[in-house]
Amino acid sequence: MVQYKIIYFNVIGRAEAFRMIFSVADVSYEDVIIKPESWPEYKKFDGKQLTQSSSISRFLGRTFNLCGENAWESAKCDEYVDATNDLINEWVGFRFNETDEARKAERKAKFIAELMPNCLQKLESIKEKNDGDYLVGKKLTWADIDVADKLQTLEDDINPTVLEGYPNLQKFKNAVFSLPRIAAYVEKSGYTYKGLDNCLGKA
Amino acid sequence: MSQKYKFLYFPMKAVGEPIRLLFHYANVEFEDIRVSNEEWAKMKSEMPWNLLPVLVVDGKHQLSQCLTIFRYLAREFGLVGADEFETAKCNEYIDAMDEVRLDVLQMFRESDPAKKAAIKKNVVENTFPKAWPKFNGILKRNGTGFLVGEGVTCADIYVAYMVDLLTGFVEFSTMSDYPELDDHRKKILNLPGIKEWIATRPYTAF
Repeated sequence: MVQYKIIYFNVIGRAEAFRMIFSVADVSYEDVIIKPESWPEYKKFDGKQLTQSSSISRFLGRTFNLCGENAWESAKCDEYVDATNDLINEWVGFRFNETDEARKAERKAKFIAELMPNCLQKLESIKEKNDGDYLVGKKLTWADIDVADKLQTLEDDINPTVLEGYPNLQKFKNAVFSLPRIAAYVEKSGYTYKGLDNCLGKA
Repeated sequence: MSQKYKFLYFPMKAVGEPIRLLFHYANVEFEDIRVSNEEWAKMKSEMPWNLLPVLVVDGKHQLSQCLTIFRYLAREFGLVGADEFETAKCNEYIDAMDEVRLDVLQMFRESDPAKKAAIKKNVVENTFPKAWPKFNGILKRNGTGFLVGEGVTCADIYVAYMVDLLTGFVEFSTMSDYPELDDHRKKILNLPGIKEWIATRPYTAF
């Protein structure tokens, strides 16, 4: 039987989407939490490794049949994940990587006033046009888990009211997090993006 | 006769060209639409994410996001791995190369000449010397002359194209330090279909 290991730091982040995909598929995995100081050793680790979080989620989506019913639906999954990656990458950029305080405030302001609403509006319209609970087709896909995780990130870290004015997205996020296996994962793991400043640097 | 595929992008190579390369390598016809600034001003609000490139299939189905389009066509044209894990490795290498591209892209986003020069210096002294050995190592370990498996995949096309484009931008002159990667770049850009297209495509600076 295939053995899966998720190797990550002890911080909430990109691995949450993988853990939720495993939960939905009811497939076990080993969580290998590494301390920052052990990272150099792990970099040498050989074997069948896959890096780059979206490619990992995409691979798991395919492996567990959570990638749409045909090539076009799979591509739509990719499209929505890619488009929201741009948004989250900008959030990561000003939230964690920007050292110039003035620039950080400027980027955050632009994010809240422009980038985030533009993206949410498009997602709202996409969700509205697709019948049912999900973003693509009729069944859950890895894109639903990925995007719901990102929406939760924004709600927890930016403002609890970010989804106000986007009723379809609120309904969508609730539908994903209400799935029994995901709800169970959330409860067991203490999943939240609140208090990020406190958990960063925790080894 | 209208084409099954219409590909809309600006008159440049940048992130649209890898998709054009896929069509030419797979020998699949498509309408190569180059959108001018005036046309874009009118079209922008109608595009799904207000961005180009966009692929239109059968005149009505639209797909956005350059890597999504690239991956979708790679699958359609049989240029993915032999199994899902190999395909995922293709995706991993494409993603890793895209991170290199984003570092170089910062040069174009910066207008201040001193800051721009600093970014270029970082690319030449840090970004490339960290990334190229990794790709070189992958080629060496795979041992087939290709990044994944035994033949050409979309990862080869994306990586070879970007190595060529990005090293050209910053006039990086030491690719000979990465012989497998340099040979790979030359080999892929000389593949039938790609070679002819490169020789005859409209000239663009980027």
